Amino acid sequence: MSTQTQTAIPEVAAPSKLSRYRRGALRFVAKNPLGAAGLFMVLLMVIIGVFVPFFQRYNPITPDYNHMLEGPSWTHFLGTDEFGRDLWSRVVGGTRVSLQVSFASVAIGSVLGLFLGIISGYFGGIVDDVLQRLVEIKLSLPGILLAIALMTAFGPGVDKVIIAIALSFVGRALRTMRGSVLSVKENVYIEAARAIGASNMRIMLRHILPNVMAPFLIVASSALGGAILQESTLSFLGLGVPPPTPSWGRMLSGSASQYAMSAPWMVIFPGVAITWLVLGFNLFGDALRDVWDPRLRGSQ
Amino acid sequence: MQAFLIRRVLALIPTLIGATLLVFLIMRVVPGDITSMLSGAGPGEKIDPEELARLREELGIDRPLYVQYVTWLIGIPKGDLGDSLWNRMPVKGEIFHRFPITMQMAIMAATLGFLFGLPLGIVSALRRGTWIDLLSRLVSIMFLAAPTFWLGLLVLTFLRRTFNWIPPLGFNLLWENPGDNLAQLIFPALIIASHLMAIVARMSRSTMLEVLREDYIRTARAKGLPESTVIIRHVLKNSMIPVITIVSLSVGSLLAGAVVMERVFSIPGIGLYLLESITNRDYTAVQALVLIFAAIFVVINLLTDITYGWLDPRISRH
Repeated sequence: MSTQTQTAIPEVAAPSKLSRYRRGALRFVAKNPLGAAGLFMVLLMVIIGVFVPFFQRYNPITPDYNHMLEGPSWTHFLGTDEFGRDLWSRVVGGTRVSLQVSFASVAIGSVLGLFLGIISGYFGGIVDDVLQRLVEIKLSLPGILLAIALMTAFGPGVDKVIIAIALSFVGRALRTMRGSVLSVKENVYIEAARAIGASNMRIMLRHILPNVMAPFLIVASSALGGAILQESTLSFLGLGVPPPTPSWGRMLSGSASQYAMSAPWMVIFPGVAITWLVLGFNLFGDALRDVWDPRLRGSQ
Repeated sequence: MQAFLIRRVLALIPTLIGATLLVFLIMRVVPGDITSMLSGAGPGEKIDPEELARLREELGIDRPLYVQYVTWLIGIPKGDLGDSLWNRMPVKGEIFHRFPITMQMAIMAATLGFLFGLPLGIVSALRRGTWIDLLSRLVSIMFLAAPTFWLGLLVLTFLRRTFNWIPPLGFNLLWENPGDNLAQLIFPALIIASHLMAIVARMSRSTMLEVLREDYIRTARAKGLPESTVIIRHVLKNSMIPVITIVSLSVGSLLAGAVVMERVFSIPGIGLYLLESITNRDYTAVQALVLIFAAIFVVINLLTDITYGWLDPRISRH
């Protein structure tokens, strides 16, 4: 054994975190082409939503009476409405609100359902009974009806729309999370944690929460599409986001149906935008579910 | 089984009370009531406050909240759902009048949805990976993503532009005026059905795929049973059980779809009645309608639970 020569062992550089993520991402795209397509659709909308002024060629609010009810053309991609406003710019304008309302309402609703579900499942007993009964009451009213009633009571406002839609997800999230908690609770490590004297709070946060994240994200991502549909339906019925904030649903009410005969593009394109975004969320949510829980009912 | 049933039915009552109480409180939360609507004053016009107070007293909405709620509640077992604040007539009458229309539309939609959805899902599962499967999945996710009111608008626009025809308006009962009734209701029913069809197709497809993987299917095939027998006797029966639960899920979307479609197609059903009552702040009507909607929902859930337990011997055993 010579001490002078070092046997050159080729050092394989440990893969950096970034390239690990990249490979994981590429694997996701390869195995779930639809999910990747959905993600792409969503990201496209997000980019448009973030850079709205960049994408708007015309002012979406000020009328231009020289170009009323024009069909799609090179100057006005999607045509104009009865005030001469560029439809493309108006649809682009609605992107932000749709994304904001859907993300916010799903975040609030599912997180609330997450915590209530964990409490309900972990503590059981009377807490569980009371919460379950409340959920049953809430679930006896179909989501949209409750949202309509709430919006009429609250009055107009984006924040109220968010709360109204958020409430429709709490019930389902609570039930799903409760179910997951019930099965996680059976694990030995929970018993072990209790044995070494961990407080309930610590067990819930440190042991249960991380292990129910997967079903939680699945519930949350499936809710996103529904949130957009609810927001657009509420806006269509006049109970959603108030003017002047643009909203795809509201663009389809009122004047759109009035002028539908002569300007069908007014009816077509905002709906296409809604469908696009919902489709993207649904495809991505489905893929998430297939990746994380193939046991769950999926389309695979 | 008897005791179980009775217990379940009794458990419904607090849930229904809870639901109506919830909506009662929601509607009363904000100041402003129907009196401003009824007096027909324009914005900014000063209304005589005495006039308003008299109106409130007549309608009974000046009484304390709990009195209003309880009086309404105890009237229900007697069959009295209250009087509409809008036209002082019993709400029950209007609901009975409009109910058949919405019910018919919902039944048509549910039938069409399952009629198209089940075969689509089954064929999709049996021919997994083929173009039929891909096509049906594509169609399903499209219909799931498209908002129903938008589809309604598109259909209306298309009908008007291409055929210069719109579905008849007004109140047409099936037994009085079948032609107009069907022409009026078929399009909204089809649109609601399309959404439902997508849900049913996806669900039945995935349950069938799961069942097809089961060991007992492999056994049946190994026994030498013809494929058709395997499918009909074993696969179908076992995959359809979870599909029953979709029925209860779909009632919610049927009701929601009814409300929206009645608005788009101007159909005088209870969905539109609910919308009108909410915007008019006709509290009594809203409460009664919510009770009806919730009751339908809850009863259907109960029926599907019972059917589920009856179909799956494992459940009814305990």
